[in-house]
Amino acid sequence: MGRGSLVARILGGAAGLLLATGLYLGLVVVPPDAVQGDVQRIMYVHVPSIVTAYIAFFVVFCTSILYLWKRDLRLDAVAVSSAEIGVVFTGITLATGMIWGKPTWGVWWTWDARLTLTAILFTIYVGYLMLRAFAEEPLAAARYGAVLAILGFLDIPLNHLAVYWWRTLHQPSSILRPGGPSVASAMLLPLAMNFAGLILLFAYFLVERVRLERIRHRTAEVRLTRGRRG
Amino acid sequence: MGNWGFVGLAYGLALVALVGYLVFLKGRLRGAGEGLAALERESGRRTR
Amino acid sequence: MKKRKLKYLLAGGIVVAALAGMIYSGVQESMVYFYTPSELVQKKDAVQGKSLRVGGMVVERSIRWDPQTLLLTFQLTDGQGTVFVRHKGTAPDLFKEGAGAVVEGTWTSEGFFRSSNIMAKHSEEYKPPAHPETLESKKELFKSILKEGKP
Repeated sequence: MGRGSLVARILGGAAGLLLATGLYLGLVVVPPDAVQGDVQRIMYVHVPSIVTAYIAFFVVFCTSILYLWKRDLRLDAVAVSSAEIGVVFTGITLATGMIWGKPTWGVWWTWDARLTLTAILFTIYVGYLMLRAFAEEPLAAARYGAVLAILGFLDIPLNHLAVYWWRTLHQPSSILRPGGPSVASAMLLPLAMNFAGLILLFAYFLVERVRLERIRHRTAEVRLTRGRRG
Repeated sequence: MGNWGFVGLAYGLALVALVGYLVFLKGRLRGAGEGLAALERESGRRTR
Repeated sequence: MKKRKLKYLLAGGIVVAALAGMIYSGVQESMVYFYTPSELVQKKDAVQGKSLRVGGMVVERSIRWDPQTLLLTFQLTDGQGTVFVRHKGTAPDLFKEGAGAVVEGTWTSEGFFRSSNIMAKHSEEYKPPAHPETLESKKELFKSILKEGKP
């Protein structure tokens, strides 16, 4: 039970290698930004973090829909697990964004549409995790949780469009934008490395977190049968 | 705080969060695994 | 089990309150996060004394800075309207002429915007500084590392 499957170890190892390379490229090799200087290097952790969080919540979205349809608790286990990891990556995005904002914008935080919707995203899934953790009726909680997760996901497309629909302090997306990335090609490589690294790290976390959920389900099963036997 | 101070703070926080989550996850896995093993040993003894 | 339920309700309450607060402030603030200078010029009587934000480009050669009194004055424009801004204190490093800025404060009856906070707005474009020598050397270093990095 201790070390995890071969798949998990390969995922974790590959993530570590990619992130180490991306870190070295982003912090040492790549030149600083013409306008912002070295502080722009925060982009190499900030942008991949939020994309990984979006992927994690997309996994929650899909498995929650499938759970409501199939009522298979294994799907629900993936949803809870992915939500937890998504919250971690959203937290990293918020923290690194604040640290990037202070030396460039001049403020740690401001309530523009992009920042507000990201804070709402974080709160929705923290609420989801609380619902799951404190629930007395696990099956009912799984059902309500799935509905909350599906509705909460709508925040993400809204957040992506927010910088085009409303005036914000936050700049529009640099990567997923009409007309292609607005990042110099030399800067794209560390970005891509960290993208790949964080996505693999997410996969590694997910495999391990789902394993925890399986152990918990099995424990509940054993308790139940033992209780029946008296 | 200089430019690099902010960079260090951002990367440091991200690293702490990721490593911290990994340690937290591994700790829960160990705890749950040991709990299940003990439970199975116990109920196995009882049925036999 | 009662204690557990209380904890549940309390946690849920906090989350719901936080969400409601953010959505409320979001509707209030984010929809019109800042006014453009021409919008402000149009409706300046209606918004006089209210705290709001104005965003635009800092007009070239408009920045005046008095280190004795810490008074910073400049103009913000959107190409159509221009607003005169007075600010006590410093501005972020990225605040400069020809760059974007969002200022928080109030429109005064004297015909200028009194700023309490300056925020620099930057674009989504990132590129290395145009120093051909260092850029080339970095590129060479970059290529060499890529070659070595491949197994």
